[in-house]
Amino acid sequence: MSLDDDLAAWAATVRLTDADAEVIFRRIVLTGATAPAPAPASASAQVPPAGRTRRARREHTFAAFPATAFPATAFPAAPASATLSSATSAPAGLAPTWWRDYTRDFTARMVTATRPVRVAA
Amino acid sequence: MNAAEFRELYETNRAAIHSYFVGRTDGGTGARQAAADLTQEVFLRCWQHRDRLTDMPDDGRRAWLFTVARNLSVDSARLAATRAGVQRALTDDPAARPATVSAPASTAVLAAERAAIVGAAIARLPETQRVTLAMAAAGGLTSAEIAAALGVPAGTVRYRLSEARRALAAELGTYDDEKEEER
Repeated sequence: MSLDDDLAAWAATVRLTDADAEVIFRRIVLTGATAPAPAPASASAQVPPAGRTRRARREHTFAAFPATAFPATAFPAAPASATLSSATSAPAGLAPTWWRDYTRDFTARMVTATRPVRVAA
Repeated sequence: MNAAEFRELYETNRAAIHSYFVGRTDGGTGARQAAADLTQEVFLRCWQHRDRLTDMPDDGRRAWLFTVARNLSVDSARLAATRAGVQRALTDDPAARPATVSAPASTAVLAAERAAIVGAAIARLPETQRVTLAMAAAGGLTSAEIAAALGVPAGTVRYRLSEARRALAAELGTYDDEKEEER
């Protein structure tokens, strides 16, 4: 057996397979899709300015992660399964309406409301 | 950079980055998964900073990827050293050497055993030779591509490859096709 044969046999055991590479790719892109913001340019960009309407604040939030970054063609649909219901065909992640009322004020009120209260002995 | 552009960058460079990490780990049996984890980390950082890479030329993107890869490999050097120690301990143990197995084995098993022996021999190479050899053999890169990725002259890459092949041929008791062709 020649050295090239040996190296080829070894390379086959350590080389990244196409299947593994595809898993890694999907994991990376989908992780980015569910993250709040990939790389904020500055801290102020994450805080909607006060005084705007709720719609403006919502649009400000989603501008940090435009849907155009993920064209539908980049994610081919998973093969349909007879055992799965149509619910599984919904896109991954929370719908935009889920975040509609999730403002800073709401978060602050929720934190305040759930803070433990000191009880007199 | 959108997802389609990122995929193109990923497909173009994943083999080079992965084989680089194979060489930086130890080239042994656990190198594939360890290198896959580090490769994922490199491209995850790329995806997170894709805006910075949008206007960059291809050479600049590859250089950026290998800068991240080098930094990651330095960060994981301690883990790699531990893994190499375990690998050496296993291969030094006569009971763990695949060549001592006397039971009848299929062709696939024999091939896997031979690959493990080659991997153990590669693990004993100096790191610079191991990285170069892994990028050439597993990554399929040319000397010029390896030189550009590592930031060393192409002549240095060819010398490292030659030295690595000579050491491997001596240790494995095989003949080197390239040396035979030179004669």
